[in-house]
Amino acid sequence: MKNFEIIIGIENHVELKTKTKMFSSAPVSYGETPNTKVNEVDMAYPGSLPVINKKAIQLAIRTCHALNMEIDTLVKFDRKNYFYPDLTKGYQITQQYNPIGKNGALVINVNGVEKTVDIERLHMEEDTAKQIHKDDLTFIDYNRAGTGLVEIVTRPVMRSADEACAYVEKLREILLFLKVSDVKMNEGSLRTDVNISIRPFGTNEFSNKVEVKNLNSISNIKRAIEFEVERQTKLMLNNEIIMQETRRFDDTTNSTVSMRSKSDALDYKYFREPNIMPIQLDKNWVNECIQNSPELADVKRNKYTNEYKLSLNDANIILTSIEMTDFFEEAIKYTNNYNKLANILISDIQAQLNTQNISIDKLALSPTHLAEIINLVDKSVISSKHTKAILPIIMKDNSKSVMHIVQELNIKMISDETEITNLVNPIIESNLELLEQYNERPERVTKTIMGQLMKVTGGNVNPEAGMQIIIKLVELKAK
Amino acid sequence: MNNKKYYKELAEDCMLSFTDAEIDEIVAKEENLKKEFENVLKIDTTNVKPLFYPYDDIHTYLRDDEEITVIDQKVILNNAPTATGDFVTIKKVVK
Repeated sequence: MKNFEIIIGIENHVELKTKTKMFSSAPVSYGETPNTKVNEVDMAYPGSLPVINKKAIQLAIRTCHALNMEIDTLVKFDRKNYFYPDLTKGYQITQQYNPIGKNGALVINVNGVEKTVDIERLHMEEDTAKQIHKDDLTFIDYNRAGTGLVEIVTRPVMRSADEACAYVEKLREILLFLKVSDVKMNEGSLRTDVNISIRPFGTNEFSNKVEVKNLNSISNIKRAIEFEVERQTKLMLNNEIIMQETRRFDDTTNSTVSMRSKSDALDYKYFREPNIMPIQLDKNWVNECIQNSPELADVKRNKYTNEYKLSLNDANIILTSIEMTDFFEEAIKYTNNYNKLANILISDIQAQLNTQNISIDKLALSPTHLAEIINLVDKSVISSKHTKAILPIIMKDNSKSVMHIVQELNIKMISDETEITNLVNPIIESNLELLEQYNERPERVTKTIMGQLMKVTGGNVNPEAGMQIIIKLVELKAK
Repeated sequence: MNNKKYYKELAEDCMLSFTDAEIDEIVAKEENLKKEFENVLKIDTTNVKPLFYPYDDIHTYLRDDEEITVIDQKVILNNAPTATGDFVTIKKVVK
């Protein structure tokens, strides 16, 4: 395997996070009743005409900028002609000749080594309908037809499955934090096609390119590339021709399966879309789109580790979810114990989210509530272990204040000196024999009394204040 | 090429069905169109760029991502050749 050089190029289809579709005012949806989120434009009813969604252009510009691309402010669209029921018009509106973005670059980090991935183009287009092929029928749901997409195409510069995975992960993070897309690979809002070819080291020509389509997870990208490299290597070693073809990955067999050969490729007879006149974008508006772009994860990561002193691991866990990140950033407005906040988020709360398979915004818990809990611990009003009693309640129901719950659970810590003294005195009186050991084993004596103090108060004494008073009273008595 | 045979194959590929009379009509129309185009093909188009738009204008209008319009599912399904449940259905398009 090491005798061969691998070359990989990636195409990603990204569903845009807009309210309405790319060229029609029908809503963008997922998982809704089939054929309820479409209008005349999506169904190509006679006389209907496409009109470009401003927000979709804005999101494409944000992405182009983040990927260091040249932006073409004269927007033009083309027709990709094919006869298939997933688009009723008989063609897809796309940008074959004038992509909105070109010549970009994205720096990835693979096992500590940085690499720049050149990006050839980013173009806008519309998504197609979903089809289910069952028995002798094809069932079509047009809800997805017309949803805005950007397609991002790299140059063939990646040399391993790890580089390909790092590229898609980095791209996914950028698109997520720019709020360009939900980038849910399992739901199809980020879809990956990988082109793979190999050549023996020292030769110039690569083998025919094989495209593996619609990979729906990072692990499947890795497995598909590894399988494909092995398959192509075996063919090359046996002096067999690697066919130029499109394949799909079957994750049940962990292998790729041929879908069609290049000889079956369609001629799409592209031509300029006559129903959409060229649109000149205002340069000031383009600059505004760029300036108003949300903060990228890299900027946040830097801030979390340097300014807030979180570990890189904790920062990365928070940054895997935009909802968790938003929650964290809201909560830090109300507490400055960033590490405690991060710890609770990625342990107790993440466990709850995993159990329920939901994101944090679906919990009743608010950032102010969590910050308040942390502040109460920091002020020794409640103990750290009591957060575990409060959290399950407040994650389900935020109608009561944190203090109200503290009172209901009777977990407010006793810090008042007189009150603690009144509690410690009887314990000392009933342990006079123990006090005789104080000079030899002071720690044993104070800890035993502390244990009894915690027992009688249900663990509700401020340990620091309690210990100070115990030492003071024991020393007084031991004299 | 036997045009009649060609159109029958094309109809089959597109999952359409035509009667012999309809196919005869299509073939006749095609023959007529070809004749008309013979005149068009005589025009010298050397150095003439393709024209895609009626006017050579540049626009600036973009639609706001706000107003939402849909049509009733019943309208869509009634307008489809066949429908099953919530879906538009057609003869299976993959083997």
